[in-house]
Amino acid sequence: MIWPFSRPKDPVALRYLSCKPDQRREKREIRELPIVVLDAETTGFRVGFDRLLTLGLLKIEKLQIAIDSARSWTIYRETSVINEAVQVHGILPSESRNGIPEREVLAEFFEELQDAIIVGHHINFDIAMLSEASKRHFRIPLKNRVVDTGHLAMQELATFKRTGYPNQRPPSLDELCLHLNIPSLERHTALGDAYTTGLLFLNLCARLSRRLDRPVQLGDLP
Amino acid sequence: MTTPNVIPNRIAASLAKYPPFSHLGTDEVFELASKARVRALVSGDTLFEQGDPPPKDLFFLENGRIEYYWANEGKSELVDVRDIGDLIGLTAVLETSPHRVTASVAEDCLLYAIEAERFLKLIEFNDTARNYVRRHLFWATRVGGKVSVPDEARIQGKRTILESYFEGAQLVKPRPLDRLLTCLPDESLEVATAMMVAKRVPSILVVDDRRHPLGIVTSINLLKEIVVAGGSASSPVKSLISGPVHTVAPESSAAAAILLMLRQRISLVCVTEDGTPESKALDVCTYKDLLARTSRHPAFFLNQIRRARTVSRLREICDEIELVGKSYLEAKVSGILVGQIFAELNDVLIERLIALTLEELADSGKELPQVDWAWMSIGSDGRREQILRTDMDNAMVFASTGDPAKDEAIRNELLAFNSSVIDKFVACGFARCQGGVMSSNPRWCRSETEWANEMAKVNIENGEDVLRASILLDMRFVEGKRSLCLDLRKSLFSIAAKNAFLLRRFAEIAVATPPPLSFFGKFLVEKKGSNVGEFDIKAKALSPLRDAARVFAIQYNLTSHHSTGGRLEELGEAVPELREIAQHAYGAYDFLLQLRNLTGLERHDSGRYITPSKLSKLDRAQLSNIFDVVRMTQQAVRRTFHLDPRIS
Repeated sequence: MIWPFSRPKDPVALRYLSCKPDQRREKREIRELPIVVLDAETTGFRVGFDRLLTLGLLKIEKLQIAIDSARSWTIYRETSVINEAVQVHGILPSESRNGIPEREVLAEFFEELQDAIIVGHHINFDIAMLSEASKRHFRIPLKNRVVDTGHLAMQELATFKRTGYPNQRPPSLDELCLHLNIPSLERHTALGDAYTTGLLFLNLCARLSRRLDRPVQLGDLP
Repeated sequence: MTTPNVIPNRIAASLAKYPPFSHLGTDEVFELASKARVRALVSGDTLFEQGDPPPKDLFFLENGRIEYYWANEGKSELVDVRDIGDLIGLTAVLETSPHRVTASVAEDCLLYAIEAERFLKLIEFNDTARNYVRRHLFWATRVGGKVSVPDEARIQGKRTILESYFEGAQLVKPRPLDRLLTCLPDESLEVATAMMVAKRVPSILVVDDRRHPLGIVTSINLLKEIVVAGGSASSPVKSLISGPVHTVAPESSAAAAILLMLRQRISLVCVTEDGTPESKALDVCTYKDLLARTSRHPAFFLNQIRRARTVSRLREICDEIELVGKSYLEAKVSGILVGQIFAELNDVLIERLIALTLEELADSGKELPQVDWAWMSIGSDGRREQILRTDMDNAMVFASTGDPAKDEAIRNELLAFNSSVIDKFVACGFARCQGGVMSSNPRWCRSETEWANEMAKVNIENGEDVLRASILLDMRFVEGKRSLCLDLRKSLFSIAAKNAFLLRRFAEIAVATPPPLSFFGKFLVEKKGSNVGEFDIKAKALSPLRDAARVFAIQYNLTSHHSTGGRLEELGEAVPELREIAQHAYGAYDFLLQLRNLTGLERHDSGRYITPSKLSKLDRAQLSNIFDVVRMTQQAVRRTFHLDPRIS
């Protein structure tokens, strides 16, 4: 139904909303499904206050990271504060000024994303940031299925199993890379982290598949 | 604006550290890397299974370890390990053949999948990279020796003797009807046996009055019935015939008939007019008949040579043998194997020539002196390597009487006889040995004591002496008194083995010619003489391997084989630490022989000189691999005989 106050949606948003995933895909093998590894760098950790700086994504097809599918965007910010986050990602205000506007980035991002499964490390924060930005520009939140490699690692690796301690936090990407001997590539750039997360995801999926002794289905992932 | 993609750079950097990518240009590697896909596998996973169809991708192992398992007859054995920087699946990609092994992940792996097509296109234009890949292929297929043997033969288009024989296989042709021995079922066993004995055939076909076959009675049936079971000789043959007769039609495939016999476990097959038991019987064939009738089979020639009455007929047969040899070689049958077959034929030929000469001698009322003698093949003939009628190498040994004057007289008589044999040999199309290595030469017709003395007194400073000794050590008995030749061989070997200086000299000769590759892996061609621009594979590759095999055979007392191939095989079995080298050397020698023989056939010479520019790229790459093997073998010789210059 059409609400009396609803404004017509942006075509980008409509296109994004129009691709509806198969309802039964939780039962399907993940090697057949579109997967996107995602990472975003932000100005800080406060959703609604901090802003996206860069965004990187890689596609996984048939459980292989396709290198030529890599995309990364730097988002235009007229003014950005130099705070402690800059020390982490090292994106200087001057770089942000050379970026492209957030709205265009999101439009391109939705084009790439469609109904793919989003994989990321501590992804909920990234999703929250992206959703917030998306709501601002297109008045829609992200609706994709999300897999957090941090949770997946807690499910698959004995070292990081849930202990029941209230203050246990999911393992960090660095911890996991060290543990699994994954070479990490350019930490704290959006694309580099996305790539490392992708390797981590493939590794964990391979473990999961060995444990289950069958190909991994989407429903097996947390 | 998108930020520059750092990932391909990183991948390109890891690729470029290892060959063949290190030979490619930076841009090309970057291009590969940016199209690559990344895979992760954990230990226990399998990348591909043995028998999987050829892949579309090559895998570069960035991290981890992969083990190759080869499953054979229900067992699975580890044949190879791939480590960081190795390419996986290269063999299958290059040959577009199914995977020959199962790749199992031993440690967590990070793999870069590279499109095979793109890669192949790249190396097509880069000689060094392609060379590397071919080399890899060579080693990869050789690791775990056993794996590669059956497949390798197929890959290189080689066929087994059986296959090439089936290709030239002939049809079943019934022989003249009067040869067929038949009797009616009511005939007594006594009469049937008498008929078989009279015609000297081991079986009789029992037929009805329309000559339709009912059964076959073989001599073994008769023996069982009469001698073992004590049956009566007057009982009718129908009491003995058993089961249906297996029949084939005339003009059907002889190979099919042989297979039928193998499958039915029968030794005889009956040829009838329409191929069923309900028609007139035409012939009865044994396995041997069928084999010998297929004219490409060596057994056929063996029979023909044995039956030949004149030298001109023998010459004809030799011409045919050469044709068949050519077809074998073109079918890429192993050179060593073909050499062995043709050495057998050669031996039969000499036997026949000697028999003919003896007959002539008897006709003219003369006879040979009453001493034991043996005709020997020496040199390459002795090693069973001469396929073509190049030249002859033979010698004679006779039992010494103890009296030099008497020996001399015997020698003169034998020499006359030998010249006559050799004349016939020449008439068959063989060339006289230019070095005079013929039994008609007094220097190559000696008594056993003379031979032994000569071997004991070899002057290692004198090249000719050493060459003579090495030729002599390749001797093989052909005709005459076998024990004489075998004893001589044994004693010569033990004399040589005890002579450390001689052994060392042999070893030095084996390593004297370094593999003819320049610093950059290019062939060095002849720069002087009449064969400029050509390449002497006999001196540069065959001889070192042959000499190495010989000196090893003497050192480890391996006397059961004569051929270089046989010696290398025996060496591999007898000396575990040299097994790998022996296997490689065997393969290399085989390839070289084949190459030499094919060139020889093409150019109507010994095939000694090849023109590298005329070889296919693959053959050339293979050849440079072979020189690797030559170098390895020479190093093994150096190690075994301590030829390395010592630091003093």
